[in-house]
Formats: sequence, C-alpha cells, structure tokens
Amino acid sequence: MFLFAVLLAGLVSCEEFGPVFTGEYENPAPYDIYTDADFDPDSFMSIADLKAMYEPGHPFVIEDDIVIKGQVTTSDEEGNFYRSLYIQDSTGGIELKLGKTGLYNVYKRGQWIYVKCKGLALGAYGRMVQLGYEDVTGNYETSYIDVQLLIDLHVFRGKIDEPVEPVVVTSGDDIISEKYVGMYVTVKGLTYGNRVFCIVYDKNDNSLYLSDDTHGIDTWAFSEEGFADYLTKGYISNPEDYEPAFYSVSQYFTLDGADLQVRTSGYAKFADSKLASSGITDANAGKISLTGIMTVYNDNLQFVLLDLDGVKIEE
Amino acid sequence: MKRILLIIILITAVFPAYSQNGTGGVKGRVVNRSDKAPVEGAELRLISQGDEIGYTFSGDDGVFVFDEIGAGDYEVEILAEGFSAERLTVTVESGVMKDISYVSVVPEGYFDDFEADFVSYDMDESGFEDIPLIFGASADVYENITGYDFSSVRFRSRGYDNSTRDVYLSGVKMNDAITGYSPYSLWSGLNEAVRSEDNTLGLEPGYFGVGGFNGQTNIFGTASQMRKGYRFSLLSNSALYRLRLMASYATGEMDNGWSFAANISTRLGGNDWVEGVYYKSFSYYFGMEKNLRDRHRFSLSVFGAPVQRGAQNASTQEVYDLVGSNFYNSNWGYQNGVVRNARVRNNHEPVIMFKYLYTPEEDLELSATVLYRTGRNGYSALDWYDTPDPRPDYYRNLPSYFYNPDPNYSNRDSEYLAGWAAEAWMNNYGGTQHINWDRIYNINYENKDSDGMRRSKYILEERRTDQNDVNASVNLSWRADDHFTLDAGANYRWNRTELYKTVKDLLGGDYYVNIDQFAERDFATDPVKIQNDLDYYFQHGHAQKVKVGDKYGYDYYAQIRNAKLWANGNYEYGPWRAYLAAEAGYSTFWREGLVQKGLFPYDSKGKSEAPQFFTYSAKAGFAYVRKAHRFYANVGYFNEAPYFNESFVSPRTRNTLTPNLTTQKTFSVDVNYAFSKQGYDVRVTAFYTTIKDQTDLTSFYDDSQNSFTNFAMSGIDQRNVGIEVGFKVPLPVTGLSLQGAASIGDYVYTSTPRVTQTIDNSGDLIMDNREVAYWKSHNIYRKDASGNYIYDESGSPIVEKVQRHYVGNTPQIATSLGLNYRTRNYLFLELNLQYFDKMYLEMNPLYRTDIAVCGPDNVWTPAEEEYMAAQETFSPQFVLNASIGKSWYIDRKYNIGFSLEIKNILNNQWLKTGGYEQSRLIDSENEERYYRFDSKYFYMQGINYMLNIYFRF
Repeated sequence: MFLFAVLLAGLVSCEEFGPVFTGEYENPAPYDIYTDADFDPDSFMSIADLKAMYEPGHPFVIEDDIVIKGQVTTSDEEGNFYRSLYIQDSTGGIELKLGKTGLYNVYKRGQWIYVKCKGLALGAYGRMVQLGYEDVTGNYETSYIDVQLLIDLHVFRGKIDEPVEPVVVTSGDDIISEKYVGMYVTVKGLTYGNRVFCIVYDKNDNSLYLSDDTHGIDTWAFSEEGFADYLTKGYISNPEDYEPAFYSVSQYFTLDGADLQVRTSGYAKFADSKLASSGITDANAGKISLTGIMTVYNDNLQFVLLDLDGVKIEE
Repeated sequence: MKRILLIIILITAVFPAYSQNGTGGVKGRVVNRSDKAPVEGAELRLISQGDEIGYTFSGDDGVFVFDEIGAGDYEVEILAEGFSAERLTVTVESGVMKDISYVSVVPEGYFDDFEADFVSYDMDESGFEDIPLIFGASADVYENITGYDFSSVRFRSRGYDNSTRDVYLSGVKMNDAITGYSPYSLWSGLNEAVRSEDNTLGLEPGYFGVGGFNGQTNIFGTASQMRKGYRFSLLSNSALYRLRLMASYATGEMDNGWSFAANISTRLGGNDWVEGVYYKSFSYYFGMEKNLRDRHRFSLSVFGAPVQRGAQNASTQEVYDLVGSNFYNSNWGYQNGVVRNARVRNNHEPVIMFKYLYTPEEDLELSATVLYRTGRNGYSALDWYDTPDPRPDYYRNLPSYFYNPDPNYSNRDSEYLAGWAAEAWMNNYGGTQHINWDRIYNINYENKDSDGMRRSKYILEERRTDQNDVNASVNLSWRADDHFTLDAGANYRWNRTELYKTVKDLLGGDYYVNIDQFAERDFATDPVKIQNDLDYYFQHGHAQKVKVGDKYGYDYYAQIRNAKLWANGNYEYGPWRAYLAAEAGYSTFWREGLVQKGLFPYDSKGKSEAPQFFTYSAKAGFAYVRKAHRFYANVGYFNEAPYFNESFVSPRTRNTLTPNLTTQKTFSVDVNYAFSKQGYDVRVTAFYTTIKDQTDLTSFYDDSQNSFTNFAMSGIDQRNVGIEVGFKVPLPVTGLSLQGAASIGDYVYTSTPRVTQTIDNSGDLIMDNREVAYWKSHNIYRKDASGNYIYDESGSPIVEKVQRHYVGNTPQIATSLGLNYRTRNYLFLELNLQYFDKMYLEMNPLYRTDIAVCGPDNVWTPAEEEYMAAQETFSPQFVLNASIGKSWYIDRKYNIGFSLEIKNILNNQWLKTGGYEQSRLIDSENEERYYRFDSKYFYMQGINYMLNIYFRF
C-alpha cells in the first residue's frame, strides 16, 4: 500500500504538489535594468527632435524605429497627475499617456525610461505634444496606451537615478516664450494674483464661470467635500442647485506682468489645502517660487504642481 | 412467523437444559434509528457466554421474539443489511417474556464499503464560501441519492440555506455561532471518527432538540461508537485533492469498560480542473470512554484538522472564454516558477469534547456534554495601498474595458486596444492570466522611504476569525411506558470570536502602514480620519508600521450568548405515533470594537448595543405505520434570532446595527409517504414553507469607491414549495435495481425587502433603508411585432406578465435515474443519469432598486426595468456518473476492497453551479440609463475520478 502511494504521488504532476511541499516562496529577482546597450544605437532620438516631428492637427502613428530616452519628472502619488507621466532629457520633456493608475510605484522620479516609439502615436492636446496610442475614434489626437501588453512592448525601465534638477526660470519672458513647456521647472519671483479660473456645473449641467476674482476660493482645487464646504460660504448665489463634485481650479500668479495659471485637479490630495497654509496669501510674505511641470492648454500657460513641496516663499 | 417458530424449536432442541430450569423470553422490534421505521429481515443472534446459541429474523413490522430460553444473561447481536451491527445485553427471567421494545439500528453508509461519503466532509471546502449541504449516511432512499449525487451541483435540500440544517456533535448543536453554517470543516478528513451519526430529514423532530425545518445530523463522536479494529485507506481523486491517506483504530468496548479510538489522515495535492487549488491538510482524532457498570459513561474526545488550502475564485464568462476554460482561477501566479495562490485558508480549530451519560435505569438516560472550540481560522488575500488592483481579471485588464459595440456603453470605443488585450489574454503574454508576483515584489523593493526602508505597497493579509466557543448541553430521554417517551434538554452557548487582520507576508518589503487607504483619498488633509488605530496614533504621532504577524486594519470581538430549553413528547398507540415538541430560547450578541477608528471615533471601539431576542419554536406531527407502509406529516413554526454576521451594517468598522433587525419566522409543513419492503423502497414528500424577515449582509471591494461596500438587507421573505420522490425498485435480475430521485421545487421571493448601503471609508449612508422594489419580481411588457412597446390610452406600457424572482444557486429541479447492481460477493456497480433545471443566479439588491432601474436621469422606462431587474437563468444540464467497487474477505477477518467512481462521464463543462452578480453600475454615455457589470460564475468540474482502496481488520 505504501508502495502504491509512492507510485501514485510520482504519477501526478509536480506542479500540483508544489505548494504542498514548498510552502515558502523565494523572493523573485529584481527586475532587469535596461541600458542603452539593449537598443539599436542608430534608433535613438532626442525628445525635442521627436516633438518636432509633430505638425499641429496632424497626429500620426510612428513607423520608424525611434527610441527616446529620458528621466521621469512627475509623480501621480499626490493625484495631480493622472494616468500619465512626463519624461525629460536635456533637450525637452514629453508626456507619456500610459493609462495606468499608481504609475509612481512603477516609474520613479529620476528613473531612466526607454520608449520604443514605433507603433505609438504622436499627437497633441491643447497644443501640448503627447506620446500615446492611436485614437481610432478621432475624438482625441492620441489615446491612452493602457493595455499592459502594449506598455510592455514599448516602455522599458532603466536605472533609477537622482531626480532631475528643475530648470530655474526667473523672467516673465521665459514663461511667455514657452521654451520650457513639458519640462520640470522652478519659477522664482512670483506674486499671487488674487484671481482664479474655475468652471462648475449645476444640476442641470449649466456652467458657471468663476474668474477674474478669487470668489472666496482659497484652496488649490475642490474635492467633493471641499466644494460642499465652499457651497455653504455664500459665494455662489443658488448653492442648492449644486451637488458636491470634484473641480479643478486655476490659481493665478504673475511674474514681470506675465501670467502663470497654476492648475490643480480636484482629485489631487492637496486640493483642499489652503493657499494661506503655504504662506502665499500673506501680503507681507516674500516672493513665491513654484516647482512643477510647465504645460500649455491652447493659449494659456498652465503650471502643474507635483505636490505642495513645490510651493516655497523665498527668503 | 413460521421461521421464528422453527428456530425456537431448534433452540429448545439443542439446548434442552435451559428449558428445564424454567424458561423466559425476549421480544422487541428492530427500527431504523433515523426515522423509527421498522426494519424487516434483520438477523438477530442470541449469544450466551460467547457462543451463538440461536438466531431469528425480524418480521415485516420489525418484531422479533426469542421464546423459551433459559433464565440468565444473554447478548443479542443485530445484523441488518445497510445498518451497523449492534449488540445489547439482556437478562432473561424465568416465566417472563421480556419486552425490550425498540432496538434501534443506525444506518450504515449507503455505500459503506465504497467510501463515497468522503465528499460529505470535503466538498464543503471547495470554491464557494457558501458551504453546500451534504448529509452523511442515511437509510432514506431519497437522501441517499440526492445527498451524495447532487452535491457536485451544490444542490440545496428544499432550496433552504445551508445554515438551516442543524449539525450536532454528541447532542450539542455545532452550527457556527456567527454564521450558522454547518461546521463540517472542523472534522474534515476524520471520516472514520464521525461515521456514526443519526440523521433526520426536513421537519422530523431531532434527537437533541426540536430540530429545524431542514433536518438534523447528530454525530456521536465518542470512542465506543467507532468501528472496531484497524482500518487503512488510500484515496485519490481528480476533483479536489490528489491523495488522501487515512488510518484508524478503535478498541471497541473492552472487558474493563474502556474504549479507545484514534483516527488520523492527510489530504494532499491539487486536482485536474482548477489550477492553484491545493490541499495540505492533516487531521487527528483521539477518543477515550469508560463504561461503569452500564450506568455511567464518561467520554473524552479531542480532534482537529490543521488545514492549508488554496482557494478558487469565480470569474466572468468573458475571462473564461478568453482563457478557454470555465475552470480558470484568478487567485494564483508563478513565483520563481512555482504556483503561488494568494487566497489560502489556514485553519486549525481543535475541539475538546467531554460527555457524561448516566443511565440509572433502562428507560431513563441523562447526558451532559461540554464542547470547547478554539484555534485559528485564517483566509489570506492580497491587500494593497494606492497602487493598481493586482488581480489579473480586474475589469480594466479585459478587452471589454476597451471596447463595447454599444456606443452608449461608457465610451469603450477602441477595438484596437481591445484586440491587444484579447491577444495578451489568449496567449498569456507576460503572464496576463495570472497574478504577477514579480511585479508585486519589484514595486515593494523599490518603494523606499526616507530612511531607506521599503514600505510595501502590496501585502498578503490574513483575515482571521478566531473562535472561542463553549457549548454545553444536558439532555434527558425518558421512556415512561410503552406509549409515551419524553426527550428534553437545555443548552447554553458562550462565544467570543475575534475578527481581525494580520500581515501574512510583506512580499519583499519591510513594513506596511496601518492606515485606512480607502479613507485617505477623501480625507487627505485630515490625518486623524484615516487612522485605523487612533490610540496608537495619539500615542506615537503616526500610524503604526506593521510587520509580519502584526494585527492591523480592524479588530473586534463578536460576542454571542444563547440559551434554550426544549422538550419533545412522543406518543405511540398501535399503528399511530404522534409528537409535540417545543423550544424557548434567549439570544443576544454584540460587537466589541478593540480599536478606535478615525472615521468613527465614537462608534468603533467598545461595545455596541446588544439586541435581545426571545425565540421559540414548536412542532407537531403524527405517523401511521402499517407493515411496510408509513404515512407521516409534520408542521412547525420557528421564530429564530438573526445571526451576528448579518446584523451589522459594516462590522469591520463600527457598531451600527442593521435597521429593522428582527427574528426570522418560518412556517413549514410536510406530508410524507414511505414504503419499504423486500428491496422496494419509496418515499414521496410534499412540503410547503414560508420564511419571513430574513436579513442578509453582502460586502465586497468596490474599486469605484476604493473601499469595501456593504449591502445590509432586511425583510427578505421567501416561499418554498415542492415535492421529493425517491425510489429503489428491484429488477428481475438478482441484485439489480432501478433507483431514482427527484426534487421538484418552486422557491421564490415574496417580499419587498429594504436595503442600507454603506461604505467602509465613509460615514454616509449611500442607501438608507431603501425599498428593493424589484426584488420579488419585475414586469415584462407587451411589444409589437417590431419590438416596440405598446402603450395603453393613459400612456402606460401594458404588462404582459409578472416575472417572479427565484432563490438562486441551487437547481430547483434535480432528478436522478440509475441502475444499481450488488452481488453477494460484495461487487457493486452503479450508473446514473442526472438532470438539473430551474437554476438561477442569486440576485444582488442593487440591481433591483429603482435607482438602478431608472438610471442617472431617474426616468423609468420599460426597457430599463426588463434589463436591470431581470434574473439570470442557467441552462438545464445532464450529468452521467458511474461507479464500481469490490471487496474481499480473507479468513473472515481481513477485509480489502476498492471503489472507483467516474463522475461526469459526458465531460459536461457547462453546468453553472452558482456565482454572483457584481454590485456595480456603469453610466451610459447619454446618462439616461445604467448598465450592469458582468456576473461571475462557478462551474461544475468536467470528468473526474475518485479511487479508494482500503484494508481493515
């Protein structure tokens, strides 16, 4: 009988009995780190050159063997970036529309990323050039890549390096020139503009523009709770017509007469933080410096903070 | 009668000496302990000083007589086919015909030697959280067929929930104190130790207590009840685990009054159908018992089953089709080439049982039993913090997330991306079909904090339900005279169960942070609100960094106290039997939070309100027994307390009770006819039951809320009506019989319950005690030839029919027809064909609310009602099974045998045994209606075998 048991045990597959005998599982090896040597040296292209291939209104699927290489500058940990990240080399920065959430877990700030561009689509949204997947519906110039298999086929993780140092901008002309769009930037010498831009919707989907003034909006954006709180403060005439919702807000800053909108998502974890808590609204405070990604949306420059560490009062 | 006379003549002829000293006699009636039906043709051997001195057989009314035997002490051995052998001692006095009235025999397994009863203790652990209801051995022809053969389709007797079947151990009710579930997993693998049991069916009164409306099983569990001798068996099967080895030994009652018994076993390996499912299980039983002059019996038993078992998960049909198997399991992935399951049950809940039985006189029996259950009950799962859902079949990983042909369906418009996702799934590129342990570990490796320590983003948690259960009963059984017997008893139960989570594996990280990640998104700027343990936070200024083995998340006691008194009086006169039974009880429970949670600082720690319930049940019945015929009927009313697990809106987080909490009221009646004679066996039953005011709590992770969401329902009524038929008919070939069973039921919901929906990360009530308007039915509206609805003059659509909604996840029609062949030299063959129909998916309350039906625009349309409120019906299926067995006796002492069973010979892989609806809605693009998420299913396994080889002596 014992012999039979041994025979039987031998007959069945080992895999089936794996967990029975192991119980303990060895830690998997760390991921392989990709280096330049893993890619065809002739296929490398700078980010600026890639972006230059785009002509406004003409998104296209890249058919050449192009590899770009850059360091991750953004993080979606604080929720102000969502489903995409920015990479940057010495020539410029570009948004990668990966489509997944929690990207900061997989792509660290400062980490080198290689992107095999062949098969991806280059397009723009509000003049901001992006690398994504072809949007067959034509609703947008690119769509999120989103399918893990596609990401695995196009995006490769390199060495985790020190985070990129921000480019320091100290003149209004440098803002207006748009030369740092897509890049990780510190703008110094800013003054709070005491005005916002925000669109909210009532229950019948009628929009209400809150602009020019602050309208009592003293936070970076509105989470659902934050907006519910705002409705009680009397700045909106018929608050009963509104339901709590997440709204992004642009807070205005100026430098040498140049406007800089700081746009924050209602889903950012710091949405409901008061500007005052960073010392910004204090009339006696010094100049303000902001660190984040410089973007454009049509005619407006929009500045996106990664987190509140990017807000400083200059000494 | 002639035969008995002949034997008596023989006895008197062989032993004339006895008659010279004056003779007496013994008479009695052999009955089946299960249903008190007479057992015809039982062989009774009269033994004096170890020698068999005569024998007789019971008549068709079960009656036997030993006449004209000498005064003195005798033993009577009773042997009846299909029943365990019994032995009893009688003292015969000169000139007296002693009436030992009933001699009850316990049905031995239907298969007995064929060991098929292994399922009754094993099937309960596969796949479902819900444990199917399988009885052990029974003499009832219907139960024998349905109890075993229907188990693989999760057939539920009379459509009742499994918690309605009472399972007793040595006279003490063992159903789980928190859930009411059958406690079979406590003794899984101990088939020999728990083989001796009594069963009653349906409304029949129980042996220990009034009994419910879904029968009662009482497992003896004492050392003297275990089959004497050694027994070894080896079992292999392809449906659950590959290998079982079992050994047992029992001394039987020795001359000094002691009995000892032991049973150990192990179950190991996986199966042919569901990858990732495995067993690594052991079990032990030790029992000892002392019989003091047949008046006092002391019994002590200890048993337990340390079990590790990888679990199965249900998926949507989309996933099954992509993978090409209805047995796909999303719970596992390869780690360094080894299959690793994230969902592992790890239990060891030992039970100690002490029983004292006092028999001051033949007609009176008193017993006291104390049981203590303790130990660990863990179930692991992945937990994660602010990082994507790691489950491979998460809906955002599926092709359907990228493309849906209906343009109104949530903007899923990229066939390209859907094609890529399908490609990845079908070819399993990058391990798409499985949990990606590599990714999980690497994310943890790289998530370094400012101290360089790795904060895990993914961990394995273990959800613990650790019971401390003290359960005591005293029972009395008194036979007043030939006509009246009384059984009565009292029971008290004290249960304190701690429910909490621990870190089982940090998966390559150094620590995990004990905060409510679900609350964090909503209260990002309020660190107090996201704390799971405020005391720790205030003491240390930050949340605890938990390591392996640390408690985190939630931690609370379920405190339960029950007491009851019961009595059952039986009256018998001629062919008539009648009984009246009643029970009164008191039940209370409360939640006792052990940690203070940031979101619910005033309602999470300390004791909750303790609802009190005074419960009562009453039952009455009669039987008319005439020869082989038996008519009987029962009626009962049961007023029972709700269970702890369905009485709190969000037990993990707070003390709030479900609104409208009340007792569950059941009325049930059945009428039965049974016939048993010369190999013919028939039973027909009709039953009617209403169950009112049931409560239910379902909880699951809702990624749209980033939280667990809870639906607490109350006021659920149902009505179960049906017919059961079982028969066994001998065919002209000796040993061959035709057998069959049918359960034809109609189990429907009859009320409009209310639902309260909460989310663990919010104090808000998403739905507050809201009507589930479409729970019991929805309307189907009249359409014209081109499919447009027809409206009446007032502009309302015309109702074509009212579609009722059914109790789900069990076939309401289940039938079996088969051939059974047995020879005198212990060969056994069986073939049966089964048919299952009227199977429905269990409903969730969300889809039956007017919120879901009317859609975001809150405008009702007939099409929305027909879509959203509808209940899915599974297609009917056939299943063919066969088995063969043979056993041999060597020197009348050694017994060796085997049985082989092939189930599902037609390899039917399309029989849905159950599943659930995902409680989630998708907004349409035009914001006028909602769509449902796809439902998830379990399927019955394809062709599988079970081979058992045993040796005993």
